[in-house]
Amino acid sequence: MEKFAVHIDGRATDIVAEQQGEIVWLPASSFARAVGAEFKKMPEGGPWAVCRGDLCIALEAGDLRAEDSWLTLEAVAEPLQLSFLIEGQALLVTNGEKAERGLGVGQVPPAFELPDLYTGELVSSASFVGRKTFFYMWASW
Amino acid sequence: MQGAAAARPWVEKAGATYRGLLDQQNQIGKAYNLKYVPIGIALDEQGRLVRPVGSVNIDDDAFRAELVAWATSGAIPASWQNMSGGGRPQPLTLAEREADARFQLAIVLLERDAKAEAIAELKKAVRLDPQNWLIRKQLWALEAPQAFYSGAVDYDWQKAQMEREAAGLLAD
Repeated sequence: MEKFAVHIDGRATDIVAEQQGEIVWLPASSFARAVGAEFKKMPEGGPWAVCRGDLCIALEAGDLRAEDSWLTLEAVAEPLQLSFLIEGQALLVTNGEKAERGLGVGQVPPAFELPDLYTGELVSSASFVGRKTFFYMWASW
Repeated sequence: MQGAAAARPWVEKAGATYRGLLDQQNQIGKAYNLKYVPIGIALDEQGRLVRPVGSVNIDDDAFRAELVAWATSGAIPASWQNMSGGGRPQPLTLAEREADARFQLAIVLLERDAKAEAIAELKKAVRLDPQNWLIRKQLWALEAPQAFYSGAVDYDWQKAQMEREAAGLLAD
């Protein structure tokens, strides 16, 4: 099992993620709190859930490790608009909800995916999250 | 538009140590409402802009010093923070969409060695979106490669071409 230090929006946290095969596990309570959500039991004997604002994501059997209350990143990433990337021994999480879209300072511009000039390999702008990045657009003319 | 083969020599001449990406179909131009180059997109570790998306002069010492300072310290230069620009990119107008459709058609025609037909489509595109310098300069580079690819770019030719276009291409 591999372990990763979790960074959220560029900041290191003391949360550690574990990867088993394709599955990334996170401690439910502390991770939920770190992304502005709450890990709690739904009322009247309902399932465990991660809630943020009006949104509650009910966790199914495979989403939650009962013995220690760890959840899978996959269960919550899309509903909470989290994007993530594993780089070395770090799991870099971007908490998309807070980010305003746009072309001005502090805003997040549209993502793009373009081929490498030499290999043709498709490169996503999102793959540079976690590092300062400068894209310089030019033409031969 | 002209593809990797046209772009690579410039990257090699510059001895670039960074990765080069190819935007042959003008994806960024469309998604970001951009009509010219060169453009800089500077993002922090969270993928947020530290400078409004816009024109940069990479040959300007002052700009390069700002870029290095930000990259090393993480502090956003005051001049970047005070720059105007931003907001959400706007959807393309109908004329811009048609200009783009003709631009995309010109790419295919060029790949089929139908240069004259490609130029004809680009001319229609320029008429539809006359402020779009990504399309117009591409047209020029195909029509008059000698003004772009034999030594320094010939700005006198560009100025004269603007006058010719005002009288002809854009007059009807």
